[in-house]
Amino acid sequence: MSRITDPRRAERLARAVVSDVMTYHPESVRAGIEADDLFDRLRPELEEARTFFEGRVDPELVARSNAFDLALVDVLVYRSGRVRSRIW
Amino acid sequence: MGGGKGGVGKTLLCANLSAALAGSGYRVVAVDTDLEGANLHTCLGVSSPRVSLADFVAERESDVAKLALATRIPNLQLIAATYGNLSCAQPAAARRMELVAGLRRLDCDVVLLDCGAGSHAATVDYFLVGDDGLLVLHPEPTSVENSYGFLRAAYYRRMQVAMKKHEVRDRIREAMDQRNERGIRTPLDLLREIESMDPEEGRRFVATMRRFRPRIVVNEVTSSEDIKLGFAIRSVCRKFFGIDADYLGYINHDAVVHDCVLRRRLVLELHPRSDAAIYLHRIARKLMGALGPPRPPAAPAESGGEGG
Amino acid sequence: MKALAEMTHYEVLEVAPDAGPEELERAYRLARAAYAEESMALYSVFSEDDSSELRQRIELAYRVLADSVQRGAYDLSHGSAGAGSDEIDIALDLAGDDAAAPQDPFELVGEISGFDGFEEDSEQSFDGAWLRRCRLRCGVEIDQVAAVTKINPSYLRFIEEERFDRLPAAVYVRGFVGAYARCLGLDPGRVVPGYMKRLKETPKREPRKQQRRWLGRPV
Repeated sequence: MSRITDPRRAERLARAVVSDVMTYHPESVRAGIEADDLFDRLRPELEEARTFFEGRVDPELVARSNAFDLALVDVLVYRSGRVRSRIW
Repeated sequence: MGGGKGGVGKTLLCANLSAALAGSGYRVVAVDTDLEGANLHTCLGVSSPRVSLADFVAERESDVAKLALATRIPNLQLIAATYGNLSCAQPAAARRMELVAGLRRLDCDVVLLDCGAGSHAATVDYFLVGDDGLLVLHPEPTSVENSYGFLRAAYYRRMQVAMKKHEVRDRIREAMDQRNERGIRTPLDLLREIESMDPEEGRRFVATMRRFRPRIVVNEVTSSEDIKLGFAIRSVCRKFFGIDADYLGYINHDAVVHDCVLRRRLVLELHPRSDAAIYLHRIARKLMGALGPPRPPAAPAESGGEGG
Repeated sequence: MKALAEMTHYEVLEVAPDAGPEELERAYRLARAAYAEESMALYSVFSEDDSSELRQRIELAYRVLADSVQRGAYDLSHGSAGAGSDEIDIALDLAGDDAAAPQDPFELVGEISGFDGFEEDSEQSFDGAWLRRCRLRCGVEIDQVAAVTKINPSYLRFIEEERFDRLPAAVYVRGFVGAYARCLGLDPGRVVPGYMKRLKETPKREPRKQQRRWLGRPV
C-alpha cells in the first residue's frame, strides 16, 4: 500500500483524524477546554490518531512536516465552537 | 405542509410522512388544521375523533396535549381538526398563538401540520410555526403561481411578526398589496425601504429571512422538466425572495395514489412497493437525515458515555 | 439578498466560489432551465425585462467562470472567496495561510478518485470500522460527508460505530450507507449489501461498544 507523499493530502489526513477524535469524544473535548487540560485528557486517543497518521504518510514527509501538530491546534483549539469555512 | 392550492398533496404527504417517521422510531404528532375540510383522521384510521381542534377553538379544551389521540400506528398520534358536519371558523389570532405554544410544548420528536388550502392569515401562521415548512406544488402554472402567492403571504407575515416598530410593520402591511403607492414591488424593494427607515430593523429583517428555509416538494411529476422545476423554484426563492429554500424532493405521478385517496388509506400501507411509495420513503429519509436521530426512549442510562 | 447588478457571477449561478467544472456545468444547466422564457418557475414573479436580464447575466457568468483564465482574472478583481465576510479569524491572518479552514466538501469529494493501492480483498468485511478507515484514508471528516450527503453527522457516526439500535429502519439505513459510499468513491453495489448483511445478523438489543479500537486492523 503506497504512502502519502503529497503534503496537501497529508494535511488533509491529519485534519481528518484529529477532527474524528473530536467527533467521537465530544464530552471530553468540552470538559478539556473548560478545564484547560484538553491534550492530557485526550492523550491516548490522540496518540492512536498520530500512529494512524504516521502509518499512512511517507516517513520522510512525517519527519519534515508538522502537519499533525498543526492539525491538533487548528482543529482542537480553533474549531471548538466556531464554524468557519470559506464558503459559509 | 402548506402550499396555497387545494389538492396538491399536502394531506397525502402529511399522512404518509407521519407514518414513515413513526415507523422509524420518531414520536410523531400529526395535526390537521383544516377546519373546513378535515380528512387527515380518516387516513390514519381514526374514524370518529372524540376530541379535536374544534374543541380548542370553542374553548371546551385548553390543554393541547389532551387533543392528541392514539392512532393504529405506534409512535403516531393525531390531533384532528374537527368531527361532524359543523364547519368551524379558525381561531382568532390570540387563541391561535396559544395553540401554537401548546403544539411546541408537546412531548414528542416531530410535529407535522397539515395546513389546509388558501393563504389566509391562519393558514400561513400554521405554516410559520416552524422555520422549514414543506411547500407542496404541482408542476403547473397555476400551482406555481399559488405557491409564490403563499410564499409571499408567509414571507410578509413572518416579517411583520419579527419587526418591532409599528411604522415598519405598517409599511409591510402596505407592501402586501402589490399595487401599493410606494412602488414596493419586490421583497428587495421592501428591504431597502425598511433599511432606510431604520437600519436596526433592516438587520433584523435580513436575519429573519436567513432563518426561514421552506422545503419544496413537487408532486405529480411526469417528466424530467417537472423534476427540474423544484430547482428552478429554489433559485427563484433565492433571487426574488432572498430565501434559502431547500428542494426536498418530488413524487412521480402514480395511479395508485388515486386509489389510496379514494379509499382513504396510506400509500405506504396499501401499495408499499409502488413508485409513489418509493418517492415518499426517499423524502422521509431526507427529512430524517436532517432531523437527526430521535431521542432514545427513557431507558436506563447508557454506560460508556460518549458517542451516545 | 442583492439586486442583480450587485450579484457576483458566483451568486448568479448559485455556486460556491470554489466550485469545480462539474458543479459549474450543472448549475449553469439548471439556471438556464429555470430562467428560460417559457419556464413555469417565472410565473407571476419576474417580469419579461427582469428574466431577460437574468438570462444574459447567466450566460455571461458561465462564460467567465468556465474559462480558467477569465475566472482567475475575475477572482482577482473582485477579491478572493469570502472577502467581505467579517468572520475572518485574526489568527488566520497572522498565520498567513488558510490551511485551518476546512476544505469545501464538494470540491473535496470531487477530488477523491478511488484509492491508490488500497487493498480491497475478496474477504472484505464492509463494516462500520472499515467505512471509517476509508473515510480517514481519503482525508475526509464526518462533517464534510454530512455537508455533501445532507445526512445528519450523528447518523454517520452511528453507522461507523454500528450503533444499530440508534439507526432507523433498514430501508433508510440502506440509503444512508449508499450515499456515504458514493461520497467516498466506493462502489455502493458492494458496500451496501455487505453492511446491511451485518445489520441483519446483529441482534438489535445491545449497542456495540468496541469502536474504541478502530485501529484494530494493521495499517
